[in-house]
Amino acid sequence: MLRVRDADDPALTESLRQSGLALTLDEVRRIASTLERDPTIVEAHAFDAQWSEHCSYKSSRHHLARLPTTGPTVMQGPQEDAGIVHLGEWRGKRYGIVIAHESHNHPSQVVPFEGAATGVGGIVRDVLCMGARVIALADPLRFGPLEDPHCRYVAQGIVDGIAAYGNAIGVPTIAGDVYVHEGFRDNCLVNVVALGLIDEAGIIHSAAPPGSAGWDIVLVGKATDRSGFGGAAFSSLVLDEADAQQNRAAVQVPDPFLKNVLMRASYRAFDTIRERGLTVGFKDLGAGGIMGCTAELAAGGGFGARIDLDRCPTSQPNLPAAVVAVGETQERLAWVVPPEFTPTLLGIYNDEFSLPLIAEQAQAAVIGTITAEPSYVLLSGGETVMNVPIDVLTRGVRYERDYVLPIASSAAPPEAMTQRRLGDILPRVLAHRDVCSRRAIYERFDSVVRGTTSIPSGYADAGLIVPLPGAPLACALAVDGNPRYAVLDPERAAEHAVVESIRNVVAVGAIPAGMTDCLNYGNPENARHMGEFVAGIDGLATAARELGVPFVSGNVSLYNQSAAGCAIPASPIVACVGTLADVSRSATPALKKIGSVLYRLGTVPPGLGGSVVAEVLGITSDVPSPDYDATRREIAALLQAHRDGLVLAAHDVSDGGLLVTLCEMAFYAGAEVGVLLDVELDVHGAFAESGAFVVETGRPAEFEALCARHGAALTRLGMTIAEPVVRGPRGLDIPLSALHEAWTAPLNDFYADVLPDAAHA
Amino acid sequence: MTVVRCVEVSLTIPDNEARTALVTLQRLGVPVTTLERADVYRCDVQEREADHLSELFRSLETLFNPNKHSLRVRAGDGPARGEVWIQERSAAPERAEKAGVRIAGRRLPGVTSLERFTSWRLSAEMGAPAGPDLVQAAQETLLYNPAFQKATTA
Amino acid sequence: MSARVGIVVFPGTNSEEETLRACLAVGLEAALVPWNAHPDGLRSLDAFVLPGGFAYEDRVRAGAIAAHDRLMSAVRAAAAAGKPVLGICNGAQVLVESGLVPALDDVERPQVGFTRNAPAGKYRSTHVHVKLAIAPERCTLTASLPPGAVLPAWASHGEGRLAGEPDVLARVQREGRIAFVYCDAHGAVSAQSVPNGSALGAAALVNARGNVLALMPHPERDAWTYMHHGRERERARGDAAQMLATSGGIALFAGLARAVSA
Repeated sequence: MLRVRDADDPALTESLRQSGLALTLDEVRRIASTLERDPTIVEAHAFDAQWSEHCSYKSSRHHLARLPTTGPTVMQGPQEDAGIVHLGEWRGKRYGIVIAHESHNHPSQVVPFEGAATGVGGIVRDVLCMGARVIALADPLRFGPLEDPHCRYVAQGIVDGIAAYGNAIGVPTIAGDVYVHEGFRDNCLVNVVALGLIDEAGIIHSAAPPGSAGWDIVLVGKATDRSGFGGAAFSSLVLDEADAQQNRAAVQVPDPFLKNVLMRASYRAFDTIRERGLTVGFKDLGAGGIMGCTAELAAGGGFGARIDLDRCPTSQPNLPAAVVAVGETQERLAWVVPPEFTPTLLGIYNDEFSLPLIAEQAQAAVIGTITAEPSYVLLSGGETVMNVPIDVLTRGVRYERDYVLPIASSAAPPEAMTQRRLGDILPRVLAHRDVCSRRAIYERFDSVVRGTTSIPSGYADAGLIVPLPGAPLACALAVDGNPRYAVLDPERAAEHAVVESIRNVVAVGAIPAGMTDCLNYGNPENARHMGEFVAGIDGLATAARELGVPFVSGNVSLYNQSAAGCAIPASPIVACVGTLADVSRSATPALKKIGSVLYRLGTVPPGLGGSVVAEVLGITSDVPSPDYDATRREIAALLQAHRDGLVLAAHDVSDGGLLVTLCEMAFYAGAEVGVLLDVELDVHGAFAESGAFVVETGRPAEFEALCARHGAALTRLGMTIAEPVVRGPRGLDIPLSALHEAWTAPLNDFYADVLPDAAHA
Repeated sequence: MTVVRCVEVSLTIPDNEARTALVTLQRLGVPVTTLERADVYRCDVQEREADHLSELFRSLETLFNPNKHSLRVRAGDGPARGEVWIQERSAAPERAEKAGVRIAGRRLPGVTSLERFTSWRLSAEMGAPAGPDLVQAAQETLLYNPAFQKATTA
Repeated sequence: MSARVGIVVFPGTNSEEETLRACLAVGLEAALVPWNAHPDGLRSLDAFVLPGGFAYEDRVRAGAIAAHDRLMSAVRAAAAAGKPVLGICNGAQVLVESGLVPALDDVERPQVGFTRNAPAGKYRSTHVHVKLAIAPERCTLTASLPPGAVLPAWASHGEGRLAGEPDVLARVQREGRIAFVYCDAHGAVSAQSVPNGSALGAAALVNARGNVLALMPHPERDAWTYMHHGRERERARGDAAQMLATSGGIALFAGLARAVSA
């Protein structure tokens, strides 16, 4: 028992600390008064995990309710581990794209390789447990300055970890982004997005199905060990250098090799369940381990559960009951199945796919049953070590945190700057840390495994896959979230994250179908940090409503703050999924033909705040406000132009602005097609980065008429030419080779100071 | 004056690779009972810096993360009984006479030469270090590819 | 009756589905063969493909553990019987570690290795082209290709650099065991086209008999038009059937189909 009711505050504080519990005094007293007794040690750890910010969204939940989550594209909104949008029909079946998005920030800061790898592992399970085939990954990453050896070490370890896991399980990484900012020096961000393909009739829910009292709970995967104990509580704590050693027990050890087999075995289980017409429950183990997963499975169906911890396979002797119950050993999932199906399920994992031969003690095992009585019971050594009302456990707690809304920094609009020479600025912008080529990083990730990739990462604004072999249905994925905006204006930064991710999928020709958000913020107990979070939700909600694209799932990561109290730049990171009925109507941003016409489709709102050029030139300015009416028209016009076959190439204007967009389109074409501008651009026109697309077309008259019909602004920029240069009025004339060198040089040596085979990576 | 020191970095979290190697060797009839893997850095270090070597390597976070590694400076300049050290045939020691060898983006003051190996430590029955025949059987069966790797034993 | 091809799935293999699709697309009867299948049941198969991935997580060395798998006895028997055996990426590493290529003097032990990429020593996934470097009829799988054929593919590996003793490498070259070399899109061979520092620019090795081919880059990752970049993709714009049709790297699988039925 944990002495609570007769302990005074200092004594209770001390015993919480000694037990490694992050529960507050209020919370633990509330637990004791609800139970009308002191909690057992196992119960205390169970509540500690289940009532953590990570599991219960206790500070964020009521704010999240403001996000729009419905629409005709939604097959399933944000109620389980992942959301689902409609992909389309093929041979009489309706297919959906499952999308899930999570952070693994804290673990990646402490143990970069394992932290990032287990982040990928976790998000894959979230998609898998819906009954889906896992088909794509994306990784939005935020690093501190790479000149700093520690930040560089963290960044390299993270890239290695993602590569080691994602590549091994055989899921292509088709999108992602990297921003480098001083504000991530003590807290990197590792967000991970996974997509799944599902036949609508095959959706499996993370809940015990109706009438499942008495059914078996089957645990599958890695045997439980000591790794990952305290993970949920750990990720809800402020990082402190001195605690790094203590955090060690919370290190989760990835096993992509086992996961590879586990995924394939689960696919076989899905097929068998479909053949037999069964309704079952399936959920991954994440925060809160066996306890968290099975309690939520049972509670999700309105049931209770009874688990015998002695039946849970372990790979280390004498593990305490609390470790078995809530430890976050990786690569595990749990099923709720009717007992008559259990032998078949065990046979798939243990015999057909031979889990026990893949990793020590890995297997599928029955560990308990679903009960009609709504209590959650854990047995260990023949004794009851936990017995609580299940709804108290899983409902968690709610906090209405105080907040102070941020005031956007504002500045006078910059001078016209027509006297600036664009040719002097362009190479500096191309070499900026947020603009330069990411080839050194994205080449580390396998973007083409599964043979479904049509546009790999690094080739366009969004990745594009053809997930169902033989069908023309395609699916695009893009991520966005710009910290340069966030430090000036958290609300507009959130709006731009939505707008930008949507524009990215539109650029390749896909119709935006749904989004996820991963909300990475500071300490919710700090009113200023909480205010940034609230403002961020407002921004996301506004932009999603204005553009009519719902959020179908999401994740919140708070306490991204160093011990010194420095929070990260507010980081609402948005992933957008787009769908396309016919992959042959998609376009890449690479310039295609000499002698075609280049247009800017849309306008760029005034203001250079948060732009790369503002940083390069030392200008202060407001963050531009998205023009939603204009954006809607641009999107409608570009999608129609894609369908009509008028688009040779399209690229969205973002980091670095219009000239960078044009350069990238030329680089993607192997620098064999040049650009001749016949329009005079000022600094804003050349480098502002919050709106518009660049479109290459071979049928200018039709394209102009189409844009006029949609009321979308169109500016003719110039032509493509055979000479490999970017040339324009007022002396702009630079060889593509020089621009390409400026663009590729900064990250060329990303790995220069790493051992070829870094220790045990 | 320089002296030779070997720094050994091993995992404190489970080593799946070593386990798979052990299981495979046993299946192939090589009677190994335990198998441990480590990275070994053999250094020529100036005598006055030798005592700081452990500290120096602990500061190289690319090589050593206290959350998952343990580190020790070993006695001797080569494999112990029961060990085989593997490296690529083409591998040559990093050398720098004065300022110190560069590794993982850092200069190691006083270290004039550095070589890396993967070390496998094998034991036979009752946990005793494996004898030369057993080590040789294990290395030739699985632990190295002689076409492009070198194996060094005690 | 169409030929039966076994696509070997080790724990950690990850490219079996697209490899299977490529085989089916050229009219082969093909099926996945799990690592725990009994080798005796596989003797009737007409060919094996070892697809890409990370068999046993490449523990110890890429391909080393899988090369000792029980299932490999069936692959060895097929190779000895002159049946086609194609290893792609990790499958190629397994063939080298098992000694099935280059098998100089018919000795089946590792004579060369595919080891860490140079210079960075890191996994890279990048689009490449490979050029047939032997007379087509020298290898049963390439017999239907024109001399000097250039195929698109993806190099997606961390250990693809051919390495070995200088005299062994010299023999490998002299005895025509380098089946493909890296090249640019036009077939020009230069150091710049080699993504991994591979000795002799080698992308693939073949045994003396010409029935075992170990190819590091993945032809099946550029075997349908929607995967292409540049002009081929552009020509299929607006035509779903053409976009979903096979092309490019599929030629090697067509070669396998010819070899199996020959």
